[in-house]
Amino acid sequence: MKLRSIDFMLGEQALPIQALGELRKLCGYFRSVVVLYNLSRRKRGDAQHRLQLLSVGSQPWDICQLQIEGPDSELAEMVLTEFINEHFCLLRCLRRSFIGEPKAPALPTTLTPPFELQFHYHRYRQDALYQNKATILATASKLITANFPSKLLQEFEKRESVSATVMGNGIALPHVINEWVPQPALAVIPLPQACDWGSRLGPVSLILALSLPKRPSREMVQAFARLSKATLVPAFCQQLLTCDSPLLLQALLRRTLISD
Amino acid sequence: MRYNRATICSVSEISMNIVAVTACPTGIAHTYMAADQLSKHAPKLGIQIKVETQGAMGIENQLTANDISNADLVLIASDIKVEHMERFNSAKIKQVSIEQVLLDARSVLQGLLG
Repeated sequence: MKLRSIDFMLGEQALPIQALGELRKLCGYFRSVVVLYNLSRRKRGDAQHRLQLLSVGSQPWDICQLQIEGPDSELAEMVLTEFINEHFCLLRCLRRSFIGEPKAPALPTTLTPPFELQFHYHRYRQDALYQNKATILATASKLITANFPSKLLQEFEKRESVSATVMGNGIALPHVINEWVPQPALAVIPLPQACDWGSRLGPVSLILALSLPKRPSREMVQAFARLSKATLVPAFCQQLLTCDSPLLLQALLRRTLISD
Repeated sequence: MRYNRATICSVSEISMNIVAVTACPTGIAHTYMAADQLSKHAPKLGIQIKVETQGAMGIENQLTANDISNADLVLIASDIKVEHMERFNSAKIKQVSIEQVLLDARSVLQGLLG
């Protein structure tokens, strides 16, 4: 049976008691099993059990998922998508007809770190961009800057020549501080197959290429230090690697940048 | 299972006191990751540790002369030249790469226990 899921972000009040009650009631109408999975806390609870939901320990702005499995999961998904859209911030529009006009795939402003961040996502195309580390870094440079891609590439290569930027768990985080790109930028490149990055930490399947301006602010450094520290957690990396929604991936990354 | 000094050492028993410095070329990722890993694993091995980070935010949690003189060992986890190395002139120094710490911080620390 297909597992259906609805991605969303909690608001300022995390999971208000009133919404919990409504969720429980709605889930009672279906035979499907509905589980609330809080991706930020990496904890889950049965949506019909209030105590289980409370013990997830959800915090404001956490990224969550309702996972629905059962004979009437399609109908449950429709109903619960409307519920989520009403109470929280829906992160993915599954079917246009569910909730009228599809929302633009924009993230709420609360997921913005205290500085402007350019976020780039590279959709997989059937071409030779992914052959090796050099071509991948060139792709990242072009994504981040249209004006100085070769200059930025040089900076990335210079950094890699000191030591490979593999974080372990299948993720590489090439990062530079440079004078060519005035704003902090993060380019996300999922690879169709694992690529050798020249490290004993193993091959990588996801590239998070980061560029910070010269003399970055304390907030910027702290935000990206949080992201790099998060990549030490295998479960977090697994979430990023298995995430098939660019919007959810962006939400997970941004959530890590704004707070622990 | 083989038992050694590290595995049988209880948390309350401090077997070693070390100071560490972490640094990396860009100073926005590895410096703080390595510091995190060392601080996390050291207490489990009964090692008391203070980690100074030399990153893009400058020197933080700076080691004092007192810290250094009280330490049994100075651990340098870095891929670049660390600043103010002259502080450690009379200390016993062990140098490792950032990758070694990220690969297995526990083994790096266990190696110090001898």
